[in-house]
Amino acid sequence: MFDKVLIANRGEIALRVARACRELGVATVAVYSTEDRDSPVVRYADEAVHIGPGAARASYRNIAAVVEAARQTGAQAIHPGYGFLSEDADFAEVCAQNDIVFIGPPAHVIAQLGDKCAARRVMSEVGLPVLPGSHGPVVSAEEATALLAEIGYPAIFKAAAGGGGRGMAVVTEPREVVTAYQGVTSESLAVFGDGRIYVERYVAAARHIEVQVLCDGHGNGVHLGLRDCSVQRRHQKLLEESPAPGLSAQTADRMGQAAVAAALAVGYVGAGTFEFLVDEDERFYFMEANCRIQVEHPVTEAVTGVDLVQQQLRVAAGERLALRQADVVPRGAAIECRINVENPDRDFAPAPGVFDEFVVPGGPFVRVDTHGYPGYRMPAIYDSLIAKIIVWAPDRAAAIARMDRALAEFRATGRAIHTTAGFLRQVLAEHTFRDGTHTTTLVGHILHDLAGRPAGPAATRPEEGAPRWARKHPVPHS
Amino acid sequence: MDTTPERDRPAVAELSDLRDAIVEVLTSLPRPPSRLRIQAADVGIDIRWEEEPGPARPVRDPAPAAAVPAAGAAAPAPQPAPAAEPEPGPVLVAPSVGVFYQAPSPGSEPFVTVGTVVEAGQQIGIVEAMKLMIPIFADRAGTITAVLKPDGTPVEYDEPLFALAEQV
Repeated sequence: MFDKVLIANRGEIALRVARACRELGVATVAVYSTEDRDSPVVRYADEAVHIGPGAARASYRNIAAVVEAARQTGAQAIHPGYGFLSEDADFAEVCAQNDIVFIGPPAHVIAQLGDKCAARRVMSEVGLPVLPGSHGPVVSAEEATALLAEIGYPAIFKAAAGGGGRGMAVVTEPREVVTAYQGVTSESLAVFGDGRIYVERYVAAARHIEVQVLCDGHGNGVHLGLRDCSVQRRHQKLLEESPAPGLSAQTADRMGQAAVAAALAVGYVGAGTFEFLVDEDERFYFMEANCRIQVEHPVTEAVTGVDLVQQQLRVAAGERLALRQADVVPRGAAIECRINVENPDRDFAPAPGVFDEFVVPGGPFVRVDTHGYPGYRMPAIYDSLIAKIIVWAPDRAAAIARMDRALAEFRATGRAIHTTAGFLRQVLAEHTFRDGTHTTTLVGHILHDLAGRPAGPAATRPEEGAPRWARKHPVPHS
Repeated sequence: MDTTPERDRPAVAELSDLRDAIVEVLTSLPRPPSRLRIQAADVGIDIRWEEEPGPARPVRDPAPAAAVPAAGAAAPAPQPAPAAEPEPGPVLVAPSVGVFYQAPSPGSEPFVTVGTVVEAGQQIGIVEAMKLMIPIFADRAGTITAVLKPDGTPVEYDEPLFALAEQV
């Protein structure tokens, strides 16, 4: 095992990784931007290095700064968390050149799977079913139109370099193709620096189910069951659960085995996720593979009892998997809710500020991963996730009741602060969710219903909403 | 029947929306602006801060520098401290995490020492990050009053490296 690991991330996941290290007796180095100097991981870690200003490209995405911090502190390995450099093949390569272990799959595997378009082809070659679509990037709107005449509508354009729900557009008829093609191309170029896009059939009412795999560097791999991530708003996951409700055990097994086989076929090492669309007949189609620990990994930990981050560290240190497939016996049901600092009444616009009050739920079988605390100023320039609440119960109905109880206990207030906690309780109350028959359309339906209702009173009174200095210095009229 | 309230309602809602949007913007700012211009049609926000009056703005405000328990406060004074607490002068900080070098190459003369008079834009040091030599430039003219880090030491981003007295 390593003596010292640098955590190249921020927020709750940096703290999560630091905790795994501590339990393994591994010293930790946190890195932080100027904006994050008050983030808990800076104090929690054994050492902390200030690597740059707030903008992520100058700090958390700055390969030179991160590697330099690792060299200064003598860290032997870097855990990239999720986002930022976690799926950057160049970064993995630079780590290797500097004799630092990148905690993740080999650079060439990241490169192969990070190109969603290439991943589709490779996964289809190793036997995973994929949706009908382009075999490579589509290079013009005309080509896309011709292809769509074959595969049919609706279809979805996606960025080859995409992720995080960015760079996608659904088309339902031919006259939308040109706009969608141009829109996704330019967004992809702007967000990912890569304008290549591909197209595949769009399944509107599908379930988004993913398989957690874990492979060592010695050719062994297991899967740790499924996660259903169908509760999404604009391709952003809000709630995840394990197991996938209502899915037959046979289908779950087939998906798990298919994912492990595919992972081993491409030389995958570490923890990874294979995402599938599952239709109402339980046919499943590979969508993409994620070469990182995911936000929703705790639901898998809750049902399997396996600490995935510790497993990542062990695999990266060269250990053989101690787990065999027969050892993985999921029990009960787990749900995770992502609490974002966003205002559901304002189309989920980020609503950051300073927390006056920050109270997390407790009680049996409740886990909270967060970097929030009373007095914490939530930076406006990073993502809006402030806490993940994870509950476990022997069955799904009890887990839903427990999650609702936990969300009701969660309190985060402050000037201009709004969170999604209340909205998540509405999701839990939906009968299709309670039945486990919901699809990725659920959140859209809820929001549509809410929009039809008369607006409630303003969420914040002016006095509460304004920052203190803004009240002292009234906004000038212009 | 008076329809005015009906017609006023959307306007009030818009006003409240606008207000919330302004609060959101203001909350995210590092310091209070001197001027804020909002434009509703076609959406546009124009924020201005007053330039600090008097001497050019230090690379980092003395206040935050003092708040960091690192080098700034502990800088050795080149001369015996005068009776009155001197105004903390500007400090020049590391542009990157890396290794700080005072000289262009090992064994050569340092770029500057205490007492060197520098011009704005003059190179005064190097931070090396992964074999990339990042020059450190003086952002104003003045006299170097302290070199706060030894040659060849690891530094973090924004760490004070030099203190400088501005020319009057």
